[in-house]
Amino acid sequence: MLKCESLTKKYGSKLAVHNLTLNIEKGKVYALLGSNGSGKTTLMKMIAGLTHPTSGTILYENQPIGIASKKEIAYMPTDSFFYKYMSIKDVGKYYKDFFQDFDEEKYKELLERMELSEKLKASSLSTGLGAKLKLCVTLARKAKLYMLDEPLNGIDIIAREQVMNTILEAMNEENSFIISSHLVDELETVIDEAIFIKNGVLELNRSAEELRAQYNNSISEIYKMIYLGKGEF
Amino acid sequence: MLRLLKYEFRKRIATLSVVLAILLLTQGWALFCLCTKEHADQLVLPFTFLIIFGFLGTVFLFFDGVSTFSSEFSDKKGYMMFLTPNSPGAIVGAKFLYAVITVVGGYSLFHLFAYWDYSLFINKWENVKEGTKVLEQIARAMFGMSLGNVTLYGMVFGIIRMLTLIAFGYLAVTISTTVLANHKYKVFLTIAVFVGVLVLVGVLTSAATNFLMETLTDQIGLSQSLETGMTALPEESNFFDILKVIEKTKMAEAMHVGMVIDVGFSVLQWAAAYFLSVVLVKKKVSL
Repeated sequence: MLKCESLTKKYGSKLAVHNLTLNIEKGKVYALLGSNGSGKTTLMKMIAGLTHPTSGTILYENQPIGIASKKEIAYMPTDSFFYKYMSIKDVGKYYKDFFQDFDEEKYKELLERMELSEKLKASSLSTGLGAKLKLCVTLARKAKLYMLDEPLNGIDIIAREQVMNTILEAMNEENSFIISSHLVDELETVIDEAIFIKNGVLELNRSAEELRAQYNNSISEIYKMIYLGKGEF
Repeated sequence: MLRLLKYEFRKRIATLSVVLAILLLTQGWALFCLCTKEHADQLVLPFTFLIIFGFLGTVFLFFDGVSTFSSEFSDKKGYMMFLTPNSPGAIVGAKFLYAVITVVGGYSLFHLFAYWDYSLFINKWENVKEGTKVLEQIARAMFGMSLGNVTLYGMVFGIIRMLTLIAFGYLAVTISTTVLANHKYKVFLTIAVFVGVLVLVGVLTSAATNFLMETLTDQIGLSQSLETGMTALPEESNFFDILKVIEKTKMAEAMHVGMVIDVGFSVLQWAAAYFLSVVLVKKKVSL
């Protein structure tokens, strides 16, 4: 579905992603794991077409990233990005205007579930409510690939389960998910594969089940081992 | 691209409304004074304000357009455009088109008000009407058209200059947010690029226009016929006699060709600024 080949991204002299090669398959859920500044967001932004790689290639369904890929990839950024004038209702209208796969009814249903009123201003929402809105508008699309960057950021412990359930409901055999999160425990039960990035370099990319069996540990513990430099991978 | 254009307007509806409201209020004041005041000098203040606000409004629209363009290409708001399945050509095109519509609209409205006030003014004070006859004669001699048409041409050229400024402003911002995105002195370099490009293009265009105009005036023998006409004038000739000499030459024809050349070069400059911006956004955008 998605192939990243020898991907490198530099911001001035800073290397954000270095020589990263990755394959994303249809119907799978990937956890993109790494500490702050490890290159997770940069990788997602390159796949979403928001920034260009310095070198390397990204192919979605064997085509470079462009208009066609943007029609099928739904990206939920970690930052708030809605226009200042927009209410939650306006956000839905905007997505409906630009994305053919946007389901307005589903959007309304998701908003209701997240207890978000359509009248609220998108720019004045708290981090948690903002994250819920971004999730609603992203999941209201019938995309082939969903990329959720820190979907649990700012969401309280009570609402986290509700958010995770909403994400889980959107998963099926026809779509794939790449989810980045610091909250590894929350992703533990839903992921098929784990991608570990450290300082822009791909440290490990394996099936979650295999990793658990090989290291006799949870993904969360393996994460700590990798980033604390304990053990060989 | 029309959908993107719709959101360009929606985003800035508040700013546009304020500019429009100020212009309308000033025009209302000017009209009120035109209808109620007895002496022409009582109109100096409203007319001065109308000119100042009309000019400032257009300049403001220019800066607002360029600054919004800049912020959307360098911060998270840009996600709204670049996440959508639109080509860089459509994204940049919508912004250029927005600038064209607002500047042409604002500039035209301001001139429409000015023309309206002017018509009321000369109808109320007959002595002013007499004064415009001299201007009318100059217009006929130099441009071969009425004063009204010369004013219209002047307005069109004002719009053309403004649009060229906007096109290069957008290009400078695109360079700043793409090629120079991570450069330490990007603001300074952007201003330098903007001024540098304007000066370079101005010099090149002026040289090319001069060359073409000189070739043309030589061909139609403009300098020769002017010199012959002026030499033949008796010593006691007045300003209107000089105008008659000019009218007999092909000065107006040369002026028309000059205008066409100017418009042609401007269109080329806009096209170059647009295509270069699109290429840079396509290859280098980094949000």
